[in-house]
Amino acid sequence: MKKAAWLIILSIIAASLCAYLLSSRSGRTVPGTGRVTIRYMDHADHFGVTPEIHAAFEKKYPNIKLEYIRTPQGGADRMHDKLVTMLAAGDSSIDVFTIDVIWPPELASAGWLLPLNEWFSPEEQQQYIPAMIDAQTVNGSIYGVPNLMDFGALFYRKDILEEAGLEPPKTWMELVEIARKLQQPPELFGYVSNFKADQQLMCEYFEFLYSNGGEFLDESGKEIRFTSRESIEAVQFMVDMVNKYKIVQPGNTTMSVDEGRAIFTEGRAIFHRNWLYVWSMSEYHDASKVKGKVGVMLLPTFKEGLNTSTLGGWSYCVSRFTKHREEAVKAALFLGGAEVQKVRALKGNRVPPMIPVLNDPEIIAEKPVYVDMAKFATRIRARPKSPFYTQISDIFQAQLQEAILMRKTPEQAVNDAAGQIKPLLEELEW
Amino acid sequence: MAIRSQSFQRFRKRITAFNVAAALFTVFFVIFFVFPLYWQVATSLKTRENTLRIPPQLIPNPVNLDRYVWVFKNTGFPLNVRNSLITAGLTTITCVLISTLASYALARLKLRGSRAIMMSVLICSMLPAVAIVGPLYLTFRRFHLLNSFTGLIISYTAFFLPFTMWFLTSFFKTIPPGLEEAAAVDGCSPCQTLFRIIIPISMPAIFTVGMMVFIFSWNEFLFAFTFTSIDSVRTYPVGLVMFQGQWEVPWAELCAASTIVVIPIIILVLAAQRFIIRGLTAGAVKE
Amino acid sequence: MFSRTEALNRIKQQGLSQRQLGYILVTPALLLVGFVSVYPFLTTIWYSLHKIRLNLPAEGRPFVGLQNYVTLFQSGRFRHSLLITSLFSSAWVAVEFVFGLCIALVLNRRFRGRALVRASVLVPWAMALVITALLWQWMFNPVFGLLNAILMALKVIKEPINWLGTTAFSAYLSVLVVDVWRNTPFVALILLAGLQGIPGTLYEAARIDGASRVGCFVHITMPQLKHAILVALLFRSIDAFRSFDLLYVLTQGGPGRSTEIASLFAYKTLFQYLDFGKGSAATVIMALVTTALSIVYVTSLSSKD
Repeated sequence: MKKAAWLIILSIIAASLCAYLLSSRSGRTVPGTGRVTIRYMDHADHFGVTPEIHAAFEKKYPNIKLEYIRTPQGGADRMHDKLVTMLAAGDSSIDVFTIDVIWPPELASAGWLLPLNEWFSPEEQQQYIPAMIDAQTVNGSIYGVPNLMDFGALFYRKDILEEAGLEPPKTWMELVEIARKLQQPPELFGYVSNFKADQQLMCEYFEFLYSNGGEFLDESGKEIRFTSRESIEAVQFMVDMVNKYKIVQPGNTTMSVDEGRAIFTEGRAIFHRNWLYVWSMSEYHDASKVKGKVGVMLLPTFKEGLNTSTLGGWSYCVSRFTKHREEAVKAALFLGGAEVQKVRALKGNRVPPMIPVLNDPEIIAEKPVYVDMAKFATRIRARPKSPFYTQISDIFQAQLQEAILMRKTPEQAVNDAAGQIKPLLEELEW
Repeated sequence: MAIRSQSFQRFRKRITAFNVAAALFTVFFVIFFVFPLYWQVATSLKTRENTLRIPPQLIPNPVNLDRYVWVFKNTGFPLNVRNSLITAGLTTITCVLISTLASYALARLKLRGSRAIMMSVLICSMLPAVAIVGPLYLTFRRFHLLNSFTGLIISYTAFFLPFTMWFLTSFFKTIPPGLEEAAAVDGCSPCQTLFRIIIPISMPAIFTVGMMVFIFSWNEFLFAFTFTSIDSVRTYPVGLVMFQGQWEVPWAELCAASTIVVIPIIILVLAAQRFIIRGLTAGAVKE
Repeated sequence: MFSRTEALNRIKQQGLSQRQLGYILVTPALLLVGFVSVYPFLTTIWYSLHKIRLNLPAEGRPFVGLQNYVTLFQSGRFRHSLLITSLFSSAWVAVEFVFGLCIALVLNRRFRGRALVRASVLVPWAMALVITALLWQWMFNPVFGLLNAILMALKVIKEPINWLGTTAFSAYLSVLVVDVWRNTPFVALILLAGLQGIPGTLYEAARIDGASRVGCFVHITMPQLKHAILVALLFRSIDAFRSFDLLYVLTQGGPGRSTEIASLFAYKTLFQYLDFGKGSAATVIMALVTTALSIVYVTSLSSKD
């Protein structure tokens, strides 16, 4: 026994020593050839299109090699923290990375992103959905090439509504009524939502707020508007959905986006507010139990004509610290360009943020649903642009949760949030 | 006599009741500690449909090995495991070596301020990791230690050093000084004494310490996550966290991969549990 | 001309004194610790005395003295986080100590299958915390989770409970369970090692004197275990005070701010708010607490001699 243990230990040690000595630290340039490796950080590739994209790129730019770096799980927040640690130290090990639509103001004002004006002309920018370009623009400079478009939509069970002879809801109150009528918890929940304290909660709040005619901040981004009656009503509605109408699944304050999605694609919910990916998960995922039974529509509203979807989505940015600026910019423009968009739209089931790609006959023939989805895009609104957005939303989320858990009244919650956010906004003026 | 045997009987009875309670308690805590492991293995063996069943399936039926196949086919997991072996293995060697030398000096050689040294090392190791991660990242970048095994090994070694030093120091203090005096009479220098006498008789303690360092650095996450961002040096816990895409959490796949790395460690622990306890007994708690 | 042996003798005599050798042997350890913790920590202290907000580089990095500390202590959120941290760590350590002591007492007895039981105690160590925290979170899940399913099958509860997200108390409790699972083995092993170091003759003598089980425990086991207990408490309470990853995965401080411990607050301030001045000040305060704890324990440990 003793000998065996020693043998194991010694062989582990010997093996690791050998492996350590053998693992050469690969440089970024291939000596003599002038070939440069560009590292880009991107989301998981569920549909295996990376080799195709790399091949196309290296054909176009034989002197540049792409290396794909995966993003961590745990949602956007963990990726944010990882990027911040890296960039705050001026680390140049990643040249191009994909970032959430809400980060450009923060990362750009910290001076960590390379402005792309020189390479990414206004004509080229016009090919993208305007909201996506607007989100990447900070103080007149453009910082990212849009890669993935996303916004909130309402997914619903066509079959259940048809059987009950009901039309999909146009207003939030209609949704509540249908959900209360048809739900049978815990077998079938009325509405699956995510009120976990992260961006998801903020996005859903904004949708309620804007569709009730409210505002979060004023035009300048320096005055608070979220203590208004409209805002308090929106929060009250979220509280009531959970506590009074009881149509939301249990665990809504802790579930991540995808846990909610799982409930829906398991066929255990009537309505579900989520991002567009739920469409491909319900239609194409092997484990989906709702194939062909799902409808997707614009989110309901409180006041007619104010339906709002929060803008999500990702874009490629170039690190200020990259040692291969030209090459990195080429990579970012290519990865967010039409060729890659089309591959991803066809094989990766992602909605492209480029107008020419959306109008491509092949796309229209293969993925007609994108055309429908793109129509909702007129109702998109971005989240407030502010270098303090992450902090503001962290404060606000905690207060929203206090209200949803009924520890505070909605009025108290928004006022407490205002008390903490106000000093921050005042500093902006400085 | 009669009275004594009666009381003896009562004593025995009480012992039996006590034993039953102890046995029940044992069963309870064994289940408590082992259950998450069981649940992980069970989840990894379920079919796709059964992973999300409500209520959950306690025993996987049918058993299905697809997840394991997936892990090997679709992820860089084997590479991550190799990286973990390198980092954990080399951390163990470095840490044990450095701490053996230092502990010997602190326990046996007449150093001025040995207590102060021990104390300051202990205090430094007790600093919250959050306090260090940011500046350390900056330092590592300056010394080109990011994305390298060397950087991870250095940070782990420093991280576990106080524990191993403190443990080995108290162990070395228990060795009777007579042995060294005899060696000195034979003309051994302190260095020779260390390698010929002290180290051989301290093997159980050194082994225990080494094993703990190995397991800790094998499973470490925060530093590995922060200081590496490319696949060729990522260790397995970071690799596991990368399994997920933008949205979906592949539960069963995570469980499968985690099972693959946990089982050998458990076997190792099982085989060595006697040494661990003996080493701890000898080192940790005697002054 | 010296002969060879004479030369060797001279080297041996004149060579390194014990003390010099000692310092040489200690140096690598000190260098490493200095490089990895002391230097970064000094940087943190320096940051904490400045106003550093990475998202507002136009501000520069003015020296502000102790202002960051003052702001922190004025903020209810930070005071709450310190309170929660102390509450958590004391609860964790207390439960783990009692539970660990019972386990150690069991493991110290001879019975069949002891090796397996001992190994089972080591299982939580063998698993990576990131994964087990996710696994626990999954078991607590109110829709898919096992815990609610079991409790409902046993008719203990009627409706699924969202353990991590309903009340502060249920969140504390759930986190406590996971931490106990994770860290009791350490306490149990240290105490077991202590128990095995108690000479059996002490018990025999006591039994001859007619001491009861309880009497033996109070008068022999506990005093003899004093050192092991201190060691276990030392490492555990400091570790609990600075613990981070468990709550980072399990609750991220929620619901509301109910479980936002100091290290989470510091982490958020640093890496999400990009306020390096205030965040560093928060970590310095935490470090002061852990240092004070270490000093208290180490002095009480060595005062025994």
